[in-house]
Amino acid sequence: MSSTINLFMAAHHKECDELFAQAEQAVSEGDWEDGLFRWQAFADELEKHFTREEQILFPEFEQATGMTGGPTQMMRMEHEQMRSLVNEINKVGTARDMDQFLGLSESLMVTMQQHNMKEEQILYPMTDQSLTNAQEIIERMNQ
Amino acid sequence: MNLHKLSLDTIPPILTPFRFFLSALLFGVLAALLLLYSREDFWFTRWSNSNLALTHLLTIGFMLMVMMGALYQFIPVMNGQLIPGSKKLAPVIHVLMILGVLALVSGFLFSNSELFQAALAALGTASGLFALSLLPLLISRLGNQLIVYLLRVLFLVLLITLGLGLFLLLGHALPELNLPYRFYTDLHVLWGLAGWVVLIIMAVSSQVTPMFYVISEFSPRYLKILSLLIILTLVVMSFYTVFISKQSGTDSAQPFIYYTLAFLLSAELLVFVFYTLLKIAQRKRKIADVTINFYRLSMFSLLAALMLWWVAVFLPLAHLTYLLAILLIYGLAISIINGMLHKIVSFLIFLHLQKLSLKRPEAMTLVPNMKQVISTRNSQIQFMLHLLSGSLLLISVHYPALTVLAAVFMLANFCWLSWCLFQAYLLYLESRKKILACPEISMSL
Ligand code: HEM
Ligand SMILES: [Fe+2]
Ligand SMILES: [Fe+2]
Repeated sequence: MSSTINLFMAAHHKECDELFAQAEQAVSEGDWEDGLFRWQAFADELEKHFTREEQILFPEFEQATGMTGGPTQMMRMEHEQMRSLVNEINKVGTARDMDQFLGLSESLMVTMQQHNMKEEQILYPMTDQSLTNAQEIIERMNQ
Repeated sequence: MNLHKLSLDTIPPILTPFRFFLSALLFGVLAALLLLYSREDFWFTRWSNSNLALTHLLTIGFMLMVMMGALYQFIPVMNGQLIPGSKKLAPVIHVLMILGVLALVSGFLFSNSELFQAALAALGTASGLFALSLLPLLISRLGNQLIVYLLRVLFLVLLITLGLGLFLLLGHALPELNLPYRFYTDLHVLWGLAGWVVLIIMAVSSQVTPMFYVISEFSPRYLKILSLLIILTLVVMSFYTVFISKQSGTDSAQPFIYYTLAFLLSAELLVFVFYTLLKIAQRKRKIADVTINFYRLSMFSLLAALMLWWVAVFLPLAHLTYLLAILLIYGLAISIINGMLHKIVSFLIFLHLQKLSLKRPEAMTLVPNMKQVISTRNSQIQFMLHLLSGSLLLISVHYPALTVLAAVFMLANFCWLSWCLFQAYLLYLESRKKILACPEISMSL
């Protein structure tokens, strides 16, 4: 069982990455049926991840540190950016426009990685340091 | 850790990394022009003026410049803090670097000790200032320890390389000192190529490839142990060269220890090559990507260099040092940089425009995606040009008549890279103007 928030959340990042890679691969091979199905699976998992952070983790962090306007706000804004990229990709996916799809998915991938990196290097470690009820929070996020 | 100094909104102004990248390109083009100008004469002797000039156009003009720009960009992401001086000091360091490289190179070309003195001042100040800017990070305990560890190691190795370089330069700048500098040239080269270049690729690929290609994390133990072993081996080799082989005279046979050390170093580099290739092969994101080709080319170049080196122990090989230098500088280092620049620049532009559009919902669709910034086709052309020019360089060592052709393709390679990045920057300026024309919504932050 994961012992820290960082380990738990980082593992979920990886899980999303893998779903992403499968969807992108299928689309790049022209297999739209499978690709869009996998894309949906990825988008759902990503949304689940954002929700965990926005509804559970960030509020806990804000409460424990008293920092409400800083890092978590920035992370929420980046989530919005990624959501709008996902939406755009959904649109070009329906239109089966491969060039647009792959160009946008590459951009999403890199945005996501940069975001995850900030969380894993900075935000999660800070969270682990300032919270004492990590286990309980992990369990709540897992529900 | 100090929570309040951390910010997750730290990207330096786009010009901070860009000014380094753009001037790096200029030096790449100059290097190709120099080769075109010297032609067959280039391969005459390792110590020719044009040889030393071209080497440093590539190693500090191109490679070191790109590294500086990239560090200004990526350290904040990993660490939550800008490198101090990202806005004001970086341009100063940048200008000093340009002047220093130009002075060094023209010093070599015209054998002029005043130019060498200018180079010594400019490069010494630039590296000192850059080192000082990095110092707070190197002694901090922020963020991920592995990254800080890798940066420390990298910093040490770079410092030794540059230190030896500056010492060699002192020999050129003040000939009256009669420094036995040439004796240290091989050490400078060894630390630069087997140390700095290898370790920076190790550090960058361990941090970047898992993100872009969905690869499982590089083992921290592998990274720590291998980098430490490489440094230790280089340290022992340096001591051996300076204290033992110096006394017994360079000509007398001193094979056993020397070959043991050389064997150790090549075994370590082999581990590095195979570990990196294995990681790349295990990537989960299998979609065709030109940067992967550049990565493989880079690793195969190091492998080829190691093989040549060992063959040369048993069979005398003509022009060995040239072949090694091409494989290590153009093959190992510049291949990866070339590929990474395509990715980094298209990402940077996308990132800055996206940030700009954040408060302007209507502008969202005006942000070009990464493949619109630099197209896959343009990256593929880059790879072909790089592969072709590198191969021609190797061939022209043995068939000097082909040097002109090699130089032309090398010029094409750097010009194409410049063009790709330049049109990306134009697209940035254009999209920026359009985005800024959209109405801004107020957001409560
Ligand atoms: C401040 C930075 C540097 C300075 C001032 C510098 C200076 C010098 C000087 C003066 C020499 C000529 C030595 C001689 O005449 O015997 C030399 C040789 C050399 N340097 Fe540097 N160097 C610097 C950085 C680098 C870096 C970063 C690399 C590679 C990664 C590098 C690679 C080489 C190579 C390969 C040679 C030998 C060229 C040959 O054997 O023909 N240098 N350097
Ligand atoms: Fe997040
Ligand atoms: Fe996250």
